Amino acid sequence: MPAEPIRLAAVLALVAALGGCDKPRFSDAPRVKQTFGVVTTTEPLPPLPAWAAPLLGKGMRDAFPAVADCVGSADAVDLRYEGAAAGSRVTGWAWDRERKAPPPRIVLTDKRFRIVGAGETGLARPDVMAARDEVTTPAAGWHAVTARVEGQVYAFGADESGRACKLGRIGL
Amino acid sequence: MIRVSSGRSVLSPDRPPWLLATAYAAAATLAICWPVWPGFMTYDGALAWEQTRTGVQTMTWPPMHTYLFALSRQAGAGAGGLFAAQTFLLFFAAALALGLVASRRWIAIAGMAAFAALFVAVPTLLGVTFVHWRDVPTASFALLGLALWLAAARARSLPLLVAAVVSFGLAISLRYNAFALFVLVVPLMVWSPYLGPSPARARIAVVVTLVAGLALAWGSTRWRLPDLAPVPKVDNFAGTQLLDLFGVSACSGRNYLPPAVAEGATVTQDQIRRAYDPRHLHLTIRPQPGLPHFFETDGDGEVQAAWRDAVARDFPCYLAHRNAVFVEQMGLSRYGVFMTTHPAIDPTSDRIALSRPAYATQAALYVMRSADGYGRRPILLYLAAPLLALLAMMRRPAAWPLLTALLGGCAAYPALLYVAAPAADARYIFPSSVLCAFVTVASALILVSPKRQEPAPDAG
Repeated sequence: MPAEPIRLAAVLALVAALGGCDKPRFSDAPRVKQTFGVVTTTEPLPPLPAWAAPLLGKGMRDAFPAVADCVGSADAVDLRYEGAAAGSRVTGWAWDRERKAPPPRIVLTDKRFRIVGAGETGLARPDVMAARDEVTTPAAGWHAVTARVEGQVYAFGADESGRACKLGRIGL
Repeated sequence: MIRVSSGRSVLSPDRPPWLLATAYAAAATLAICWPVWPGFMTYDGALAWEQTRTGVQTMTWPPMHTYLFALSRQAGAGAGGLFAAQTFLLFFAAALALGLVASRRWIAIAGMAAFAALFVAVPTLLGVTFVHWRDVPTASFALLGLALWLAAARARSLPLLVAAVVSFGLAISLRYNAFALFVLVVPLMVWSPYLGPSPARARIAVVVTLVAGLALAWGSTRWRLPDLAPVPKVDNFAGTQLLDLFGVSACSGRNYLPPAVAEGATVTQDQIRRAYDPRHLHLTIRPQPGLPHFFETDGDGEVQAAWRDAVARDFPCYLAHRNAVFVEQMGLSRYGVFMTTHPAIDPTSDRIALSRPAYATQAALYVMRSADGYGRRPILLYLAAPLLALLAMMRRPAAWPLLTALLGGCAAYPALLYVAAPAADARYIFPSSVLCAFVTVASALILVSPKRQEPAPDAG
């Protein structure tokens, strides 16, 4: 029998034995792993902000008919929820040029512009303030969550008066 | 050798009126440019001008307009330099070509006066000439190419022939659809470069220059100057398709608008009908009370997919909608001509301003008040040109190859716009309107010229 396969089998057996003897982890802390830049967690999807719940499934412009003038973007899907309620968290930044402040609300829609998620601004993004003169707060960042785990979502900045503006689109 | 033996006899035996054409063009340029100096400017023109400082940022509009502005800026003439140059070229080319068609010098002068008078009689021509729209230099280079071709044919000059083809290439690089102007001119040029017996090298020169010119025109919309950096291609047809979707939806009662167009708002059939305006997408999607906000978008490809579906399922409605756009485009609407001019300069970073605002206002008012008269609409040029050309061909059969080729451009250009026009702006048909004006006057000159003996078939 050639020596090479025997050596390979021995190494694999050793790895399997070590894996079997490894002490299982029973920590209460959620297990977090990172694959291709998206962190996953076994935590369930957090609840949407209270204002967003009645809007789910509605057309974006039926819920927010007025068009706001703002800039921003949907930068990344930064967290994937793999708990009992699965979902995704999207992060980005937004700035309302008329209010000269971040729009307080973030709305996520599907490709057909039906509302599927929400979030709020206030997240620290000093890099945005450093890069853009018009942005005067370091808290122009946002997180928004959705029960969707695949497909594309559009992100909108919105406010209480029914104004909203499109920030960008991102694949989940 | 294949010969179009009688074509060249349409040309005057006199030398081309270079000096006369120069003087005429200078006078026309002064009359047109002085009151509205340095030329009205819409967003497109302002962007082309801005890009002379920032470099070409977008291929949404062919960058040749920016390069022409850049030459003007480098020459120290500002935006007005291009304004004067394109106006001068337009009238110089017309005068040169008319001088080459007229049998007597006084007839040529009368033709030049008539050509200029048509700009006053059909005020839309004048109104478009006042503005930094690409349609003007497109027409200028098209007419220059024609004049150089006629001069080349008369003098049997290879350099003039090549220059003519280069000029056509410049027109196409400014507006892709300008090739329709030459749809019959180019085959005739290849067939008979000198409008009569022509050496093979002339044909080869036309073909080679044409291929090189088209390749450069195509390349100019892929790579920018001076660094040859690639700039992403932009699909300009989505705007046309979106207007079509509104039109077909309004006609058919089926809502073809993808959700992205209203960003998820519920849109009723009545709202689509109220919004739809065949003149322009921007008029259709402008905010109106009681209507959802509509957005100019390609819907990440959904507009294109919906357009295919709409045209296939409701083709009669697609035709009805395109007819409605065409009626506006050609000035056939009972409401008048749409977008005859743009009486202002849109903001630029260096704050270009009108030198004589009071005169500019008067000039623009003349155009806007008089362009809608039934006897002064562009459509009349498209009726007069074939009618007079037919009479001219009957009087002088030798003229048929040239006049037929020019009429082909008069017809093909708006025919292409019938399916492709993103809006019904009068400026879009400016190049073919100018060509029709030229054919009208040239035909009239042939009609009033004393009848000559047709040369022998093999006469050079």
